[in-house]
Amino acid sequence: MEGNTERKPGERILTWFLLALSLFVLVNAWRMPHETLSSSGAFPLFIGSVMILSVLRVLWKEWKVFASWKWGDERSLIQPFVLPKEVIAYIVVLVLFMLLTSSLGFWISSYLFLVGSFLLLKGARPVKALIIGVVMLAIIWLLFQYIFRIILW
Amino acid sequence: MEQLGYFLMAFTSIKMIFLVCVGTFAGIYIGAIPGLSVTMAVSVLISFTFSWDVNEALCLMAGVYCGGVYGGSRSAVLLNIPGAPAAVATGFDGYPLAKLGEAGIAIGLATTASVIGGYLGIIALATAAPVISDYSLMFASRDYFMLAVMGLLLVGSLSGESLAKGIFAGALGIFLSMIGMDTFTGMGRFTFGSVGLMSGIHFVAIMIGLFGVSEALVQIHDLHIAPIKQNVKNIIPSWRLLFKHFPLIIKSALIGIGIGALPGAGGDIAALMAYGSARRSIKKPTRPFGQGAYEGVIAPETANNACIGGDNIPMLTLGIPGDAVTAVIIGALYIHGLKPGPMLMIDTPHLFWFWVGALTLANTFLLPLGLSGIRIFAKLVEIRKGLLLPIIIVISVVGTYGINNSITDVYWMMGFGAFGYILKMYGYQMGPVILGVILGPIMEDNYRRAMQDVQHSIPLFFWKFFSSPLTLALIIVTVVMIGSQAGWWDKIKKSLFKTKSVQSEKS
Repeated sequence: MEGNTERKPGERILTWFLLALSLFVLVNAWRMPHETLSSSGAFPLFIGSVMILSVLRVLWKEWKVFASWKWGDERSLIQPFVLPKEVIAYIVVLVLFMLLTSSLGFWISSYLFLVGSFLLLKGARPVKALIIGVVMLAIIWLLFQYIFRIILW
Repeated sequence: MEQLGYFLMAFTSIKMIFLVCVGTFAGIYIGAIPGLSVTMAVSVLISFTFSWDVNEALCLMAGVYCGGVYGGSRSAVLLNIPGAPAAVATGFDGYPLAKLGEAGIAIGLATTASVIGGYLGIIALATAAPVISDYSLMFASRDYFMLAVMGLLLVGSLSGESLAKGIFAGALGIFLSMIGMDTFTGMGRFTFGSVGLMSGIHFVAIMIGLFGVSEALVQIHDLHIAPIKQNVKNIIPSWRLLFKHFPLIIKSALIGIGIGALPGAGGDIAALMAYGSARRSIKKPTRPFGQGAYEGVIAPETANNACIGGDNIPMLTLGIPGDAVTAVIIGALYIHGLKPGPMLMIDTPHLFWFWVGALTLANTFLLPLGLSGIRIFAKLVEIRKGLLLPIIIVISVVGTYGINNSITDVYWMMGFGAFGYILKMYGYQMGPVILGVILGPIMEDNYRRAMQDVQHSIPLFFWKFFSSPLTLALIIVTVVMIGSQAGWWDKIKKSLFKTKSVQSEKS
């Protein structure tokens, strides 16, 4: 159960980040009232400690793996492993979608998002993408207007 | 008699029958399409059905739930890609069967085994839940605390590649659940002075982000995998074949119910356990296991659907979810103003029996819907991921927005999607996070009450743990489960993966 399976490039960065997050949780929990064992801060302190201990356990377990891998060798593998070009491009599209959605409203921004995504992910050719975008939004409109009764912005 | 009336309620309204049928149909295809999960679907449905009458919402959810757990088997058999974690074990023998040209028999067996397993699970639920519910009133705060700990430890340790990562994921979920106002004192916790954070981060936004958007991002890695076409014939299995394997069906259903009834252990574990048990106990399978044994399809499929009934026992009687899907369903019940737990059966017994009825109806629809529609399925799995993923994202956005009509929830959902994606890539499972989010408040409230009961005395707190037979039993079960899994769980996994590697070497 505890045996590691494979080396994942970049795992050490995530593990240190999670340790920092756990410390942040613990420090903030410490600032809450914790005079008694049922105070507001007592349980957060306990959970913060569990988070730290479990990340330390991951670090301890993976230490040899991390040490056996030169940072220079690992660094070049991180981006293709966790953030290949398609994922980066799609995250950019998602961020744009989120930025546009508050100014353009749901329908226009979603249409642009759908068509852009179909083209980016090679789901459909341009004309087909434009048509599928309209059909999908029409289905969503019908579903939410008449069945789920959710009013979109 | 009154209970029978509640049970039959879903059967007497055409609208409800229709909703269960549509839910089951949708569930089968959501479960079958890799990249769409039943947890994702139920999370999105919570907000979609928010404004509905509770019975109608439950009908749709029961259908999606039953259909989704079964649906994973189709893609496991036909594509060797399990559509849901509960179908992983089905692929071990299901796919070799498809390669031998017996995909139809594999799907037919998987469907009938699922339906029989599902009925047995529901019978177990209807029989055990009222009894457990009576006893659950005797549970003290510390017992609920212990049950929640047990659930989290089990799901954390059994669902991923590492116990430490599982525990971290569970603790992360609990941390997320603590953001906002402390219900005991009214004080803001982890809010950093933000008024918006005082009401916390809505758990549906976290769920949809972790199961919808993060899964879509993971799927982008597999955009180029071409769908495999299979020729499916003779889908209805013979009575003789079913009768021959009836003892195995009963045994696997019992495993499924037992595993499901444990807080934290769900269909995936049940299916693997039943598969492992069949491998060990059946001396003369139809073919060697891993090479297309019928038993290798029947055992996991019976167990994972029987697990639905089992999972619902702790969920409805104690308010402790059996796995990630039931955690999401608990969330749905909360949203409709219901409180799963010991009082559910006392305050709203009609709801319990209605839910049992809806599950029975969904399970009944599983048979005709599961044994048909193979052509539609073949078309659906051919849908390019480039088309599917953007649609998942838009539905996730709509689903999240629908909870509070708030765009901030959508931003949170997207943030959790990105964070969940990174965590998933490095082997952290999302199931424990969701369980943590749902179990966090239950755990904390009961811990604080238990502490107040003993006037904050640590020795007395622990003494109560060991002096109460019930609490002691829960501690022993938790310790034995966690302690022994290193042995039995590893053995099962090793033997299964050995079979898989031998199988891939041969092909």
